[in-house]
Amino acid sequence: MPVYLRFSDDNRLGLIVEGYLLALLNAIRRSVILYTPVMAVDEVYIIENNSPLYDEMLAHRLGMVPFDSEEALTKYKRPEECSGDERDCTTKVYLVKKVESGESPTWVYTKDLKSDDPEVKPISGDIPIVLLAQGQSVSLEAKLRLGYGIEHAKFIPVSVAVVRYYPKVEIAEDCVKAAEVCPRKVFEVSDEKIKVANEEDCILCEECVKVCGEKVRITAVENKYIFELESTGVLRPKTILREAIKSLRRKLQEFSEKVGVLS
Amino acid sequence: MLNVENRWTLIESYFKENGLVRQHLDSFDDFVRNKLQQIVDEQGEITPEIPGLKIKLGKIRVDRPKVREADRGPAVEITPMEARLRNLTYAGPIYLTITIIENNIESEPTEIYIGDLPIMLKSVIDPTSTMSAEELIKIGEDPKDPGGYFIINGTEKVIVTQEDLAVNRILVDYGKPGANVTHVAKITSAAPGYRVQTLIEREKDGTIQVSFASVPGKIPFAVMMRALGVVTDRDIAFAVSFDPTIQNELYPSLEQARAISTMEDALAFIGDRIAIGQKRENRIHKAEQTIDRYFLPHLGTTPETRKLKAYYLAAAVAKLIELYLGRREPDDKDHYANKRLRLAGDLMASLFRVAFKAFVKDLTYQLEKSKVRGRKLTLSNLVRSDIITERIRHALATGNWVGNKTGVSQLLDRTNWLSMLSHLRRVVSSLARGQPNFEARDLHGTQWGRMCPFETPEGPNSGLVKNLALMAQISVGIDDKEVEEELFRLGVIPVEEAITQVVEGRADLESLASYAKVFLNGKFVGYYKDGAELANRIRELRRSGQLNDEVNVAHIRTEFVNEVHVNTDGGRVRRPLIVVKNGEPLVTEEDIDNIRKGEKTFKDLVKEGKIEFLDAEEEENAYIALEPKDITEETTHLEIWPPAILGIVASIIPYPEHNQSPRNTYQSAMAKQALGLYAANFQLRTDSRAHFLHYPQKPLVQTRIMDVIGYNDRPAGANALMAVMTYTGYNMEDAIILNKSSVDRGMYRSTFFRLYSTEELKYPGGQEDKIGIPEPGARGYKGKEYYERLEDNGIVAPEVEVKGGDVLIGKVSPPRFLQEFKELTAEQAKRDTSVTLRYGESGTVDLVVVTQTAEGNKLVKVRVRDLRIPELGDKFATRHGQKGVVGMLLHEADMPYTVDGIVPDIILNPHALPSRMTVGQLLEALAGKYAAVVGKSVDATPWYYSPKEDEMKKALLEHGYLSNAAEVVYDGRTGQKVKGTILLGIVYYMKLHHMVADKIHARARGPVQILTRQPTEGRAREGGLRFGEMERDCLIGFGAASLLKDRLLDNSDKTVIYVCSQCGYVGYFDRKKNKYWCPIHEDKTVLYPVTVSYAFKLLLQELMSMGISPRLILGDKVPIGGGDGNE
Repeated sequence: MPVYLRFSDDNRLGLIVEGYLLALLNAIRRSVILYTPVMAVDEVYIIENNSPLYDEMLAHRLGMVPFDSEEALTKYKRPEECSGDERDCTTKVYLVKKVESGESPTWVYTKDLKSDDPEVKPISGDIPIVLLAQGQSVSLEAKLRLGYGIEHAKFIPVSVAVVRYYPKVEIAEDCVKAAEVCPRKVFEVSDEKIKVANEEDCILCEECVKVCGEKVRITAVENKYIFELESTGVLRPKTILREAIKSLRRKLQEFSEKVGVLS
Repeated sequence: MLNVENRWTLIESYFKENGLVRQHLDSFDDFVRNKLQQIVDEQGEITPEIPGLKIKLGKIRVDRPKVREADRGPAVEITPMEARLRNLTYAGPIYLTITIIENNIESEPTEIYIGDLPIMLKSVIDPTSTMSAEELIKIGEDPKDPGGYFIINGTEKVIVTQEDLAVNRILVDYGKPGANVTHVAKITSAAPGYRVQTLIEREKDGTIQVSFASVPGKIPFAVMMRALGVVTDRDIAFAVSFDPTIQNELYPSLEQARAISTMEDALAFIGDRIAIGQKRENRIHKAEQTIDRYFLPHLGTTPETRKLKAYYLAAAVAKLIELYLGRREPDDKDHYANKRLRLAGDLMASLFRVAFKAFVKDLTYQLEKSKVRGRKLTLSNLVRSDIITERIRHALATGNWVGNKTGVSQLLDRTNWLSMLSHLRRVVSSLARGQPNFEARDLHGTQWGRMCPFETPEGPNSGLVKNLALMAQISVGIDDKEVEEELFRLGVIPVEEAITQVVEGRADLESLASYAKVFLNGKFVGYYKDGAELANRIRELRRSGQLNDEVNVAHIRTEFVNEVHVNTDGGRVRRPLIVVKNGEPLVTEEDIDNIRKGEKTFKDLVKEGKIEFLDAEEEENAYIALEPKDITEETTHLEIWPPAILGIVASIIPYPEHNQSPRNTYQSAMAKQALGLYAANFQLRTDSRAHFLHYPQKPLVQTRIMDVIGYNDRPAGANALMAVMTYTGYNMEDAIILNKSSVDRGMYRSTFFRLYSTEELKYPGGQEDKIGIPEPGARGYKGKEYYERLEDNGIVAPEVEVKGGDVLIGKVSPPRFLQEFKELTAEQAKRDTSVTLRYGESGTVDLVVVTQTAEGNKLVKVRVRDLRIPELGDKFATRHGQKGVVGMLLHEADMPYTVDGIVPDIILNPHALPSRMTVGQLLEALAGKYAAVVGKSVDATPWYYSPKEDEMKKALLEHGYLSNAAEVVYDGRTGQKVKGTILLGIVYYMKLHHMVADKIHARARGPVQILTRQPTEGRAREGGLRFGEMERDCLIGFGAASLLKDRLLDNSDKTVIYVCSQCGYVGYFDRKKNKYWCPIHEDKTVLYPVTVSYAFKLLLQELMSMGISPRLILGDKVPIGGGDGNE
């Protein structure tokens, strides 16, 4: 049951997986979205806010800021292990900004957030939070914790999580039209003839079949899938996959333990 | 060639110059500049019944908006925002110059203050009309606010434009079938301050009868003519027409009036109707008076105008006979040439006239009273300024206008930017909505470019409430004297002149009969040889600037009809068109370049005669090309911008020409309910309720008009990724599935604001309200916990969370009736009149305003805000009349995903599309996707959109998408590929203000009405859900007696009454004596408890109050011992 690497960089991971059940792969895909722990702002104590944004809007915007959670995974407890403010459950960031009268309006960026834990910081310092006009100020502290995507979208570590069928493209007879209609440039035309150039890019849309009929054959390879992830930057793609599988395994473990106790 | 871009430049220039509410501003400006003075001049002078005393009224002037504070300081200037916040009226003081003439000695003219005039925002007398954007922001105004409304007691009021049938015009029609009258001509004359109707009827015997107000019965036409001074049969015949065929039809009428042959006789005949049985001289005098005042008063009310009236009447008779002869069709009442719009200025004028008359009357009275007491005349002490102020303010505040019209002024709709603009451009027909009026509701050809063909409500008001098209302008009206003189200079032969020419034999009958009749504002002024030539000459004069550009002329020519209609009156809906001469539009590319360079404006082109405004009547003479390529030799005009036939709201629909037409109508209604940024100064405003969308976006799929009307700066919606598929089934029946993760990220979040306010009122007798925390003894004290959130001053602090029932402003008021609580202490007698948060609502206190009203009362306003996150049941809609409620919120992981991992925001059920044929929505999805892919917005202006479909499809294919905007998707729950492809595109969705949070309601137990003891009704009163008659019928049908009793009695107004077994009256249990008591037999009887509905007890008592004696005969429920229970 081989797993090949299709591509991999800081944020993206592409795999070709053979011999695993679709149900399992999709369970992993869903686990990536739903059960991967990620740090995010969860509670905001607003000390002062006379910005044009209401407290609830400001808090929501802070919640949407992606924080580097790579180290946090080992440092902080998971949500199921925390019920309140126990040790190692939360960390804090602070924001104090004031625009004196006479100054021009100033943006507050994520780089203005002061973090208790230097390893938990926004993945970019250039995310705008609020625009302060003169005489306006914001002063707050925000509590971060690990959470799962199933609770709230701010805990989702990925922007893309895809499991798709592995395509197989066969040309029975020549049909140049197929290359014209293909949105993913699967075919290459040379000497008025087509040949398959990028088989893996085929998305099974079957546009070519509509124009060429039996001349081309598009099928999905059984039990072979393409798995793709794109991280929002909070975790490395491989960490996400590992954590997702860990979560899944923990659930299976728990389940099997429960079954074990049954007489 | 004038391509699309060039013509668009014209449109931009037009709106830059005129704004969006020009009609209101023009009208109000005219009122302030001219009509106000005219009304004063109508009065001229006041002559009280004091010998030798006269008061001359001079110039009237309106000052800048000011407020007179209660502490009697000088009036200080106010800004609109101050008026809104302090519940003031944005009004300027009116000053009138008055000269007292005593025994022919004129005193020094003095200017006195006579009242306040509410000032229309952005009109000439409003200081904000000349402010720069920075200045406006400084005083708290939205720099883009168009004005056109008033601020009355702190609320914004619009005077809605009223549509009326044109006055002073002869309108002919058939008589009612079966009646004695075969044909009718109707004239509604409007003189300043009143209108009267004149009817001219042709009866079955061929005679023509005239009837008008204040003269009972019908007067034969010939008699009327004689009374007006056209005596001989010959003169009457010539006055009517020079055509023998028409003259022939006068025989019955002339024959009928044979016996009355002189002017005196005719006048006496008419006088007989008014002053019955009086002396002949009196009758004649009375008849003359009545004719001058009530017969066609729009032509004048002096004896000199009688001839004019005679010829006007004759022209009406000619028109009537032409109709009878089949030479013309009955007038089309729905033709826009026969409609006039009355705007703010007009309506304010009639209001002011009445107020001013009342003012003058009061002043006369005060003068006389003061003179009787022998005091020296000091006008400033006698003038009561509140008469005018209060009359006008009351009319504007309630909408009740003079002439018993209601709903004239309305609260400005501030749901979103569009709804406000649309409200300012609304036109209401005066026709009753109760009657069908089918024709009046239909879209008429002449509404092209004047009224929006889509924007009208559904239901009873359909077609009666309309909205102005983008380029429609409304004439203000100019004096027709100059135009009349110009007509005569051009060679129009006055009627009288024509008749004398014929009589003296200087002109022959036949040629005169072929002349065109010339009408000026409906008034018959004379004959002209070549009507078409006259019309063209007038047009040339207008284009060259020698005649006012408000003059419109039409030459109506059919086989028999030959008339020239010149119009200069106000209220005509006109629209601009490019003049075409010899197959060439007069506006050149050079002109366009000059406009772009800022060297020329739209107005300049109008001045140069290259663009002119046509009313519906003149448009009958025009041959208008839609596009430059359509121009032929006969073309007279070129349409500037065909999409401008739409109104403001319909203009934001992308690809409307691809939709089924009612969908655009539905959309026009729905766009006004969308949440968005309704005004840039919303944080400062104190609207009684408002919504604000958190992340509004401008649509990816644009129409050109959006920039012009400011929609892109104050949008109301967001671009959502829409998938069309069934998925889970939770989007059946027009529901939509929302992506919960998108909602988590802030999609369609909004804030709801509600304002609570109260005023510290002062009562007669020195008592007053007090804002503060009420003492526990006060009547209606709610309990300590409800006042916990109040500060020491009795008002909640900002950013405090509050829920239903919490007190926001604590207040105590003195008792309503002083005697009532004599025995109680002063503190106990006080009523708790605190303002509490509405039942079922909650939120955060957003803003607290403590200020003073003009009367000096303390005014507290508290604004509460509530965050609204989209939830199940919230209503959403696209821009194509496709509305739906949220049926399910699905997590991103459960949503379908594309091969690129893209997840839709909204899933729409495909069944929403085929029957409704909103192809525009599919095109929008395609265009939206294209826009997202190429990174620039798309122009979807009707007819002129670009890129076209093919180009967008090609681009999509190049960017790796299917050209039909569909995509391969996988089911997020299983990972399986979905069969076929799914349309996935970006569509602009709007969140509408119908939200579940405002509607959710249930009740088990709760309050009951005091009178009937039945459960209250409605959500606001925590009411029950009515178990109605039909529901009752069901239970009866089922035989479910116990359930029926449970619903109708046990859980409603069940009561036990005690009925006397002897007299059958209702008695009671006296707790003090511990006895049952009958009102008749006192305690010497037996009272039995009977369970009845409280409403039944009430019925018995109501019957008693009417003198009916209802008695309840008691018996056993279950007969004992074989009896039937009645013993």
